[in-house]
Amino acid sequence: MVTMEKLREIVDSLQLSNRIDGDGDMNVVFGPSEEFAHNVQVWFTLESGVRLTVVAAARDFKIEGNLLQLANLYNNRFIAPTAVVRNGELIFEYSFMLNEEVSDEFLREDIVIFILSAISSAYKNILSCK
Amino acid sequence: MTVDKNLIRQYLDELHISSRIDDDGDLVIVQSADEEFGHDVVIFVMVHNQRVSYAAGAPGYAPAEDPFFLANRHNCRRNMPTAVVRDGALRMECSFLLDEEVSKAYIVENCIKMVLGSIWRGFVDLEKEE
Repeated sequence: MVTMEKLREIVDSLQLSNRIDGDGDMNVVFGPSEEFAHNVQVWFTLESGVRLTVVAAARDFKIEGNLLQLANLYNNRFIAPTAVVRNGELIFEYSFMLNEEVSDEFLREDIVIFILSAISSAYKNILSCK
Repeated sequence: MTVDKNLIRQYLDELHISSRIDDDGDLVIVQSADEEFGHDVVIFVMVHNQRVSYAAGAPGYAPAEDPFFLANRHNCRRNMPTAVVRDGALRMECSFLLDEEVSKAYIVENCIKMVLGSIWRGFVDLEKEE
């Protein structure tokens, strides 16, 4: 069974700072970069040990234009994460079912590294859709 | 285990799900219209480089509401598939990177059965208020 401790070990091995909050969720922050000048907060939530949901948001970032169409354009071009508009804010979400057996390599490469890599460039990518 | 088109088709056969091969070599599955959703749902399954990708549409279906609104509402409600508007038509899409070891059960349950069910429910529930 996949646990948050196991996911955290993988994130630690990537030398990414992280913390576990009071709900047992893991938070990772991508700092500002040349390509995107805002913090991106990433939350890993493990529901009943079987569904991993990853949500990413840049709270101080506002983007102009029709957000629904922009999110759709991004979703047309990029596999993951999914851009959604919630309460007028554009955020990114993705989830994985982990209720069946997977290898440690799959968990590391095709889930954690895959989604963190996709999120790290998601805001840059959505700006390219404008 | 190498995930290729033949393996996915073998699993579809075991699930008693009919498929055909189109001119591009992709698998095609048709979910027939019924009283819940009055249009056939055509699902293309593409397997390349150990990535299984689904793209589904419902030919002839024109939603009564703004498709961008409906796609975003779906994406906020559901973990998968991602609803996208392409050329004015609503499509359901998702993909799985499977280049590391996973169990057969993981592929069958999470990358086939759950996806096919979610695509159908996605179209059925797309215009429903919840």
